[in-house]
Amino acid sequence: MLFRLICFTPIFLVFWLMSTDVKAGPAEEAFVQQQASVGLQILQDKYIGETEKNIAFGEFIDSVIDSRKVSRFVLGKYARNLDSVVFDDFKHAFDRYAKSVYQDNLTKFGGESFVVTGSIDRKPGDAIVNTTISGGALEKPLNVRWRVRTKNGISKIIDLEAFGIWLAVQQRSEITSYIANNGGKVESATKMLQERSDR
Amino acid sequence: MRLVFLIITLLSSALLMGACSTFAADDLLAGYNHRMFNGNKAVDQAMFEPVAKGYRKITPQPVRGSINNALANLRAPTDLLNNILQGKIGAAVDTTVRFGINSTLGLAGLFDPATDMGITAKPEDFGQTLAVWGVESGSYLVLPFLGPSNGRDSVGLVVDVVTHPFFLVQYQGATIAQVSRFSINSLGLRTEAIELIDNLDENSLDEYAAYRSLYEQARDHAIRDGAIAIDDLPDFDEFDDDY
Repeated sequence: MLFRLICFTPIFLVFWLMSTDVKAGPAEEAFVQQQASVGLQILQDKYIGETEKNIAFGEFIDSVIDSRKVSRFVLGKYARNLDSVVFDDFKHAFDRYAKSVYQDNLTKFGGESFVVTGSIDRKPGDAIVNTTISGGALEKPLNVRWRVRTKNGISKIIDLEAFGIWLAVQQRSEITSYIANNGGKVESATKMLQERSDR
Repeated sequence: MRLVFLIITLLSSALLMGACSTFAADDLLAGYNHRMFNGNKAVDQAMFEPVAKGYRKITPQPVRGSINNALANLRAPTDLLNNILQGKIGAAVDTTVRFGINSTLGLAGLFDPATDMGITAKPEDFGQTLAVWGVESGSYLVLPFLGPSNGRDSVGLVVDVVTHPFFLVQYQGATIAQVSRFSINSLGLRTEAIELIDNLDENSLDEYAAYRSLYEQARDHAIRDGAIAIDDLPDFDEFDDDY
């Protein structure tokens, strides 16, 4: 037994060193677990009305998502050298649109449980946290990955993935295509997002 | 002999497309693709969508589930061939055992006791095999009626069809059996996708780009068997101003 342990110690050490290199810190995992609990609590709260729930969920989204970073990302190459007023208008419209889509779907959720199953560091301050959501409206457990950006000790979500689809990547494809088809003007996407939110 | 020649020709085409894609944009056929996308959309709205919604209305979920199970069971030879071609011996064993269990205990595949026993499906197609072999995707391609694809996966689709036992074994009524299998399978897929497509129609900002991105991401996920390639994820700092 001791012989085996001594023989395999170097291999264990290598794996341990490799794992410390790539595994995200517990801070990101704790952040996702904690924020998911808060989010699910809002969704499952039966004592507040729909309007209050929408407001509470909107505030929750603002607090956990780095919407400035996501807005720049979804603009892709059009974010380069963009006038700050044009960007702020786009960010505001994009935030509003995203919330309106989430809120349309809020009533479908309730009763789910959420477990963090691990994490991995892409690079310092850029981690992917793996989770499984089950129960409630879900027929089968759903694996969701959260991309968490940490800067100056503050963690924020910048993307999430389910079934292999990264949401921000998906939105970037659509928004950059729309802008390209409308003369390369970011204002066109801003206007369309405003119209969609007002529907 | 003709089959071998056909497969060799298709493989050569796939490798050529892969090689070309290194130097070219990834939506070389954008004009054709947009027209085909709009045509498919019109056909879907006029025919496939109403049929899928009607099918869902008149068949209870357990019945649809059993039909889907049986069709998935018939795919086992294709899955097995591609498990082996990709060198996934464990998956090949699972596919064989699943086929045996579901074809017998599962009453010709109508039920899926293998999954209950912990032997999950390992679906693979020839497009995925080509990707595992290093063939690039080639240009994005919208196929008539079938929708999003690319050069590599289109070649893979043809190989999947011609290597399926339904295609290879000659028997009376073989054509009817092939067409029926394809039609029922397509109907099942369209029915399962009703909510997804409705959601895309309602919420996507650019439908063509939305379908394309979904297809490419989902295919990448399938090729990697759900594993994540963290180095391939886009960098959020690329167009940033404040970091």
